[in-house]
Amino acid sequence: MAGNKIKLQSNDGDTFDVDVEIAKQSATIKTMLEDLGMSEEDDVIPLPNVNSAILKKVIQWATHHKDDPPPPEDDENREKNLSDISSWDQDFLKVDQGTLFELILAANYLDIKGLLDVTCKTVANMIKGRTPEEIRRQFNIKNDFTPQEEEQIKKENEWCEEK
Amino acid sequence: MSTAIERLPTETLHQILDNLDVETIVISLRQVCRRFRSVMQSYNRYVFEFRQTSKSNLSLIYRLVRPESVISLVLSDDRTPGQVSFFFSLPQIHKFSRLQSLVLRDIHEPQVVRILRRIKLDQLKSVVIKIDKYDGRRRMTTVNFLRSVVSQPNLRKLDLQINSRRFHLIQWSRPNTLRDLSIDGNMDGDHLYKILQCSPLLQTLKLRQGLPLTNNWNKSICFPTLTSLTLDEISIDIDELQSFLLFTPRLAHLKVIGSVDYFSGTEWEQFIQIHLPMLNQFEIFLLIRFMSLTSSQDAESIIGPLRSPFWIEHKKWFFTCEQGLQSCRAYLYSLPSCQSTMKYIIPSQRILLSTLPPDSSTMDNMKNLTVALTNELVDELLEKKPQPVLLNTIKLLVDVKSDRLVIPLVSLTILVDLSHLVEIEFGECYPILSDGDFDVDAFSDMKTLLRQAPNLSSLLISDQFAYGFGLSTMDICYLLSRQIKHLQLPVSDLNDIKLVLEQCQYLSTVRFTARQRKLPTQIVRWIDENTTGSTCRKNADSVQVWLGKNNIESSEPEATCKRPKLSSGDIY
Repeated sequence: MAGNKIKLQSNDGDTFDVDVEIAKQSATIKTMLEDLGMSEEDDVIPLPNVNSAILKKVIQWATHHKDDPPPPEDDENREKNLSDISSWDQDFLKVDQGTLFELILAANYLDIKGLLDVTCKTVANMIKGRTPEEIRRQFNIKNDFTPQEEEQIKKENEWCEEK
Repeated sequence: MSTAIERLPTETLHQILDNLDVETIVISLRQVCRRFRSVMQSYNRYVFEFRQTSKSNLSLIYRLVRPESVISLVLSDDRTPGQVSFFFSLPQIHKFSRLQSLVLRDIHEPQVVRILRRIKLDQLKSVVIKIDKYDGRRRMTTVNFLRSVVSQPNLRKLDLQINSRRFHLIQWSRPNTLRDLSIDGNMDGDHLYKILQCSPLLQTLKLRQGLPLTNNWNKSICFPTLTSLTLDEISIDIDELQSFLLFTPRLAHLKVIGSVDYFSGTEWEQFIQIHLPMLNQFEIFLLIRFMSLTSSQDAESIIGPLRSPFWIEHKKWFFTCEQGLQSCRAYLYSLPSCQSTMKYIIPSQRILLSTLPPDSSTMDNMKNLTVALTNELVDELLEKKPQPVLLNTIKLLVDVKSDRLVIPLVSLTILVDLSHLVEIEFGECYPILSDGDFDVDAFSDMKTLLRQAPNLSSLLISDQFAYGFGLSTMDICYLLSRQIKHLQLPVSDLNDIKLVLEQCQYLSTVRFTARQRKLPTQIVRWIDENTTGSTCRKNADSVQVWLGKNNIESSEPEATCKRPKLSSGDIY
């Protein structure tokens, strides 16, 4: 393996040469390299939960954000500001829903906090302020409540309205 | 067969919920499907913040979410009068046992005492307390509880905005675990010294008061853990500031917002090199006062020394000096600006010198913007048609200062990217046109403007503005989209109140402003008779309403419904 690059292998067999520093935005890969004794010279790091198309997107995101400061630690005071997604990220995430959710799963598996944050925010933006029916339409979700459950929900709502 | 979002693991769905307000989670997601209902029930990181929640939805939320699942609680009566009292009516306050963050903003002293007495403090990592009304009888009780808060073993962040009489009584005698402290207690140097000595882990300090004198401090004192210092909204003596900074040699971040009599880039260059070698972020927003009217030489004398290699090449810190024509003062600020609030001055009426190359984005942090829409500004915007320079503004105050009949509000979109806006306030409007010949396009102009602000949740319209633009109550109702939760508008009689509540069923809070002396009292009575559970706060010329259940029939305007034609009788 040449210099400061590593090879990442998707679950469908494609390999990608990636700068170590870019790959280390993934805490999972960083751990493999540092804690588990894997070296940059090892042939390939297999990523069994990520397919080639998604891995390519993840690498594209990590490359663009390689110079970002480290994300802040979890802050329970954080403002739920859904509009602070950079225009680059907004364009990057103009993808179909299947790809968006695959990216969330990949960010979660690879433990890339910045990517997970921005993808979750994007989904939250698609939900915020919408009615249940609009959310169903947005994500093509079937209303699977039984009549009894519907009645239960109605009662919950009415109970408070009567108060 | 489940869809892609339903197939996400529960923990991932919880991460999406981390970005949503509690109202969307409990009122909407709960009713989507069984999976989401189950996810909502297992979620245990709720942030209770109800600034935009209607009172009836609040009741439902408190009923459906277990207090143990709440990690952050924000209480304020500001736009939701009676919210704090409502909290006290809950039978299970003691069950808020996992609170990590508590924010008590603009509330009364006895309420602070009651809350601190009843909730568990030992899990708290972050506390913000801002008292707006004091009760002398509770002073020592408040102080004792604040002492207790400071000594909590998990507390990392504390922001106290209380009067100096109480602040001085808090004894800082035992070591605490604070990392982040914001205070405006008007303390002296000895008091600050005590606080810093008792806060051995403190990394971030924010002072919203005059800098305490350090004359009595031993010169060998050093606070090595302190890496971030912010001085906000103060009048600054540069010599005193530099004396103070000698005690904080490991600062990585220094932010100074305030007014000064002079600023020397050369002096600061030397000072930072010698005394603050680890400084990697230097943010300033300084108002510099001059003895006489400024000229371009004044701006150049300030900005010139900041063009040295130290600032531009070594530190990569950039600055702008901005001064209005015919003014005795100038603003010097680092880029991007660290001040989130700013009044926009049109380019032809200011001198602006920057160390950044032209066309660089410098206004990214500008969250709150005041714009005076004058003939000159509109001409300039329409003529040059630049790309929006203010990309992240979330609050916009618009004053119209024009004598034209047609004032294109949409020209603001040339200046500001409206997509991030959460609040627009239409304030002053003068001169008022007296001939009743109102611009018939004002309504559609405003509608077009608001359509470009999909995240807008608050719309505030002054009576002057409504009158100046010929907007009736009906017009304002037609302007609202569903995401707007808070509305401020002028009303002239009770029919206007009825109209608003009929037409705008999605509102959570409304502020009715009224010129007639008796109207506020009548409004309170009307709200009481025609809604259930609403609470009001009456002032001399306005009523703030937190809406409960509306008992009047909705006649929400439909998309195809034609807006009534304006007539002079509809105008205030």
